[in-house]
Amino acid sequence: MSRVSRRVLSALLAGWASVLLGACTSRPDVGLRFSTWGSLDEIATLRPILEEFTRREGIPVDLIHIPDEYAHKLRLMVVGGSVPDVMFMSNEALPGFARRGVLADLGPRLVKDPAVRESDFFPQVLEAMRWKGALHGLPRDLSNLVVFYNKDLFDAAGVPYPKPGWTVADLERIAPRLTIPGRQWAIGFQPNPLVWTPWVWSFGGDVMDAGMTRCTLGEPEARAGLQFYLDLRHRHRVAPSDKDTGNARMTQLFATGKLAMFVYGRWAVPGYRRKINFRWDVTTFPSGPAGSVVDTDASGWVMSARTRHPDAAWKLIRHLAGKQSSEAFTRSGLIVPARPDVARSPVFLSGAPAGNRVFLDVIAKGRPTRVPPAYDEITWELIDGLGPVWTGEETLDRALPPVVRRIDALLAEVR
Amino acid sequence: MRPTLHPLRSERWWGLLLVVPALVIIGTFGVLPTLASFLIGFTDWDLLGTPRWVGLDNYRSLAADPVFPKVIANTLLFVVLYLLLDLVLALALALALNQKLRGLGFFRTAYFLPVVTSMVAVSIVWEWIFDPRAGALNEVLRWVGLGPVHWLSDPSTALPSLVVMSVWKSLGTNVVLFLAGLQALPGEVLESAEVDGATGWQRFWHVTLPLLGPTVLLVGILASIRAFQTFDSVYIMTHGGPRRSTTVVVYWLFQNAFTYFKLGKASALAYMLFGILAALTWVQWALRKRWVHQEQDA
Repeated sequence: MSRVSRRVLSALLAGWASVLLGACTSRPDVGLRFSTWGSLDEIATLRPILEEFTRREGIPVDLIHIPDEYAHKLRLMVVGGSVPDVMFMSNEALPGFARRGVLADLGPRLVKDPAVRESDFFPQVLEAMRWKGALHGLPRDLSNLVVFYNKDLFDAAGVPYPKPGWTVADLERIAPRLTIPGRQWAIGFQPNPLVWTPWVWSFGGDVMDAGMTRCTLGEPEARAGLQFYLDLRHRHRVAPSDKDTGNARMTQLFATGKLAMFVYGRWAVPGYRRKINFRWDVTTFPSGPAGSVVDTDASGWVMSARTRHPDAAWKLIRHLAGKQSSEAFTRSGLIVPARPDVARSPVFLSGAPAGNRVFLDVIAKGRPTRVPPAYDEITWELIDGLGPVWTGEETLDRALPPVVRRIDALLAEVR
Repeated sequence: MRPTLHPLRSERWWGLLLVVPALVIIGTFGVLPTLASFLIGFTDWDLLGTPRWVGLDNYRSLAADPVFPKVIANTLLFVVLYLLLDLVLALALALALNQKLRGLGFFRTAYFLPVVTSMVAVSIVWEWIFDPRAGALNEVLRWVGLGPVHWLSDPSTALPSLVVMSVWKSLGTNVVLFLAGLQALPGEVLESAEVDGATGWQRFWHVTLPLLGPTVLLVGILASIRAFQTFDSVYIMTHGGPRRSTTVVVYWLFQNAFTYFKLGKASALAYMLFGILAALTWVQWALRKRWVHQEQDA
């Protein structure tokens, strides 16, 4: 072998060795790693808040933006041993991580730290950040469902606007007057479990029992709720069918003035403020036999149980959940803040819709979504199994029993 | 020759050292995961907790899962539709491109363009094409008074729609393979068939196609492997829906592993898929004797 080629080979081997070694050495410890999801607008709001934190505390923050499949990617980071020090997390994802001891218990810190108090947050929202009694996060926002309505369509039909406290009977009465077959519908229709569970709850039923041991959708109250929702589409024809909507999302149908009413959440507000050119407002979800019951879900910041900088991580969480940051997040209209002091201030209450207070009034009766270990698979089962019911190909009576059986099996699986 | 004292002076050592990178890469990312997933298939594991040995439970629960037969049926339907469309179209195009036409180079390149385009970009463009309201496909149907068809949101059309897109995407590769096969055909045989008075169709059916046997087999095997591995278009365009009508086996595997975090079940499924593919390959291999006339006996 010639001298030159040997030298080349040595160089190659050295290069290879350095690649292997490089993969094994850990990254330098520069500060806090912080993961979040969110649109670019949200990130633009977040960046100055983080910069302010670094300026004040002298702690750099490495922002990890994961716009899609957040909880799943985060879990892979946990498995790979690169779990961020601070993570943004929804109450639907929280139990999956808390159950495995990934999250630090923040309860003792909240008690000890004079800079932040439990009473800074709505109790229901703080509750959503708990798992088996331990507080795992400080909440940023709460999310619940309200009814968005198009005032112009109500005026054109000569129907008075739905007032908070209105009922499902009111809905049944006014809906035909707000419908023009093939062109306009009284209310949107979404086969997404998140949007139809309020019908089940408001009729006194539930998807599963409180202990999350069995599916209760087959019980009379739950069925009544599902049937009412279904009838809006197939019996009264006041909600659009799949053929009517095509691939358009319900939110687009509402924004283009084809729906008089639409059950949806706060996150739609920034877009509607910019795009909608008719008058609109929000009201409560209509009251059923068991009242008007919607979800109170929440998102907040949690800490890794394995962080090497728990004190700095807590400071960051406290900063993010503070009044100033909360005001910045609220200003765009995107969230209902978890802090009553911001929620009851003009920062939240001013700006469209006029009925902003509705988002706060429904908190008292709201309930967090139940999240059993097989939550994702159960959600799929609900979408999949009830699909033919929503399209009208199958009756509730025929479709429900196998769905209930499957969910019972999934609930029994991991206990 | 002097016996080597320093190990690095020996060419054998150099040789070994040089294969180390390949061995490490294949071992780390190929062999180890394959062995590990076989073992994981016998455990209950959600990635975060400790794996629990459950024996054959995953295989049993797969066999009892109502989704499993549906997924297998979807996958087979996808493979069969894909193979039929792909082979027929690719062969037809290759025959056309094998003529002496003007602008041939342009067409050959044009049919190959989708192959080198990313599946993500292709999927997003086809989502627009399939859109029931604003999509190009329904617009064309509207001109002739048909539609609108809800291509991707109707359980009966979603899977065939994905097949059509996949065929369009990969057609170029097979056209190239068929073209190579066609150009390697012995001209004398075709010529003598022509002299004997065989029509164009007879020449194709009795001379060209049998002689093309090895190429058809190769294209068939490659295409069926590709079809069985379909994932990205499903992930981007339909998420396995509507109502699981496009949940093919690799997508379901992904869902079990990385959405439901049932690593054991997903691994068991992977080995079942391996079994199915091995069996099919064996069948194709066994049938080659009948299809392939040209192959020399080894």
